[in-house]
Amino acid sequence: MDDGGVKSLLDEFANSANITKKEANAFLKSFQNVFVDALENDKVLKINGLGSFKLSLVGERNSVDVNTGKPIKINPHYKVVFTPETLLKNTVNAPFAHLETVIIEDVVDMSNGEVNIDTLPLNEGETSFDLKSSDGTQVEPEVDESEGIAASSDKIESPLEKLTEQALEIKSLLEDIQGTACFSDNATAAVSDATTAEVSDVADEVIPDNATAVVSEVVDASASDAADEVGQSDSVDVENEQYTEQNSVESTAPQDESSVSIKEEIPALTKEEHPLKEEPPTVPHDEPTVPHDEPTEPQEEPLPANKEKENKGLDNEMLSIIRDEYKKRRRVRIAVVLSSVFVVLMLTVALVLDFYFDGFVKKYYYSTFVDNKEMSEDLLTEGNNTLMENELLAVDDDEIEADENVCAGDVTDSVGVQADSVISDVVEVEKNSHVNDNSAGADSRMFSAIFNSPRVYSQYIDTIKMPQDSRLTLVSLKYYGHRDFWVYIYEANKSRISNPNVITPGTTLYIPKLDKALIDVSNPETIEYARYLHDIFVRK
Amino acid sequence: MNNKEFVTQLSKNLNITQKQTASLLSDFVSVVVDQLAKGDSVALGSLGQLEVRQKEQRKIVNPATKKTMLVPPKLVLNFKPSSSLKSKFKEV
Repeated sequence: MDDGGVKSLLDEFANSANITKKEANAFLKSFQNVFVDALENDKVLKINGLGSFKLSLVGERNSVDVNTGKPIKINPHYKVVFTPETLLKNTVNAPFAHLETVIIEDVVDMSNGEVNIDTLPLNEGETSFDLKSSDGTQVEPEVDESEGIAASSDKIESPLEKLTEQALEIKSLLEDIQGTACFSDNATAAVSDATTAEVSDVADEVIPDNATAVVSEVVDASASDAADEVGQSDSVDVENEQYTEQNSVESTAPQDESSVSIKEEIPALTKEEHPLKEEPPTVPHDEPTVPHDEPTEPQEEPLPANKEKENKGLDNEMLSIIRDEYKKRRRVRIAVVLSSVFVVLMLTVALVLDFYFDGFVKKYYYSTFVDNKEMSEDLLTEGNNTLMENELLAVDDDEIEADENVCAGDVTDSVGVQADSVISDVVEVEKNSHVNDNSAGADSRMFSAIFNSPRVYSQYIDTIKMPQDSRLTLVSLKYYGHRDFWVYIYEANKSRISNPNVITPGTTLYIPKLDKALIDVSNPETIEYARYLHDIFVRK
Repeated sequence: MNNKEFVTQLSKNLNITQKQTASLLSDFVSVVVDQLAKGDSVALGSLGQLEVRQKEQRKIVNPATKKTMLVPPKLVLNFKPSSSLKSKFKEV
């Protein structure tokens, strides 16, 4: 009981309280007794400056005897729980009070893994907070660890860099290999290009140039080199060449480069010859045996002379065929895409026109035929005809535009024809739709006569004051039997209502007498028209 | 039992006035608190001891924001009842 800890405590206590050690000891004893009594009786004891001691019940639970491994039951019991006062808590925690919760970036966790999660935050702590020396000693070794980890990560990264270097080397090697392939492709490309009339002419022009001894010799040399290289690449990998053939568009650039290199070998050539020089590798290679009328034939004839050339000629033929097919397919694709785009465009234009002119028709009618209560069919048809004419004109304009577009886009005539047919289809459809409109809209026009005659509100059924918690729709429901007819009340009282949605209670409202046809609840058109007005008013 | 009742009981037990008891108690508490502030544990005789424990820093994840946060280490006060006190309250 009177162990060292208590003794030193009692000594200090006796000193501070100016009492003898005996008294202090007596105080502690009685303190302990009262403490136990208080907990036993009240289960709670609060001491100012310290905190509260509580007895908390720990319920019955099952456990396992550590030694025997048998399940045992732990009986319910009380346990003393101490909750310190906030002041004491803060006092005790003073050494760490300056530390705050730090948000850790998720990226840090991802990249550094588990080990660094513990060490790296400490780094942050060191940088952001001034830890005391005792804490610093704790932190530093861990920081060293993290540095070590960083160093190791560097070690990991450095081989990676080597790997990337290796990859780059491999890539460059591959490019070199592909370069030769491209060079071989130059020959093939030149052959395929020679099928076009232009290039054959060029070849004819080149021949006389080659007649000069120096040039022909040099070119022959380069051509034979090229042929050798081609032969090698052919023998090595035919598929590779096919692959490069597919990328013929891309390979044209290297082709130019190679031709440039050839040009460098032949300083004697003038600049005028240079554009012609793009093809010479093949042309002279065919030269020794055959005339240059058709570039494919000469390749076939030297077959017995050179087996490599035989292979090459066959390949070239194949390649030219494939290329032609490819081009055809491409053209077809372009044509299909462009035509489809066109169809969509024309459809949208037609729709827009239809929409616009529909609206225009209404407006036109409203403005011109409002006064005529009986609209003659002749006038209608006339109006429609003029409208149709306008529409057709507009469509024609579009057609012209479309044709222009076709010309600009280098689309084949078939596309234009398709587009025209589509346009004509669209126009027919529009015509049909308008015919339908004419037949179906006959009834509605009777109503539109009623709707469009200007409403004059001279007679009133009633005069009311806007009740509290009411709306125009409710008033309309009361007087006209439908909510949607509020628009007429609003129209009659426009001068008194600024906003139909907000009417100050007590506002005097005149309920107008309306044509029965206008507020015929059984007729959906009246409601539709009311809603149409509603839209107009609400938008305002 | 609150502080006042405790002082009353203590004064009865010591046969001194409540005022004296209160001053004695406050002196005692201040001594204990001083010790605890130093980071030392305080033995309360047969009751047990009040000790300061360091809770290590730990990572938490805010479930709402999913942000990972580092809670700094802190010192907490803990009451460690003696075995005699424990056994006293063992029986319900």
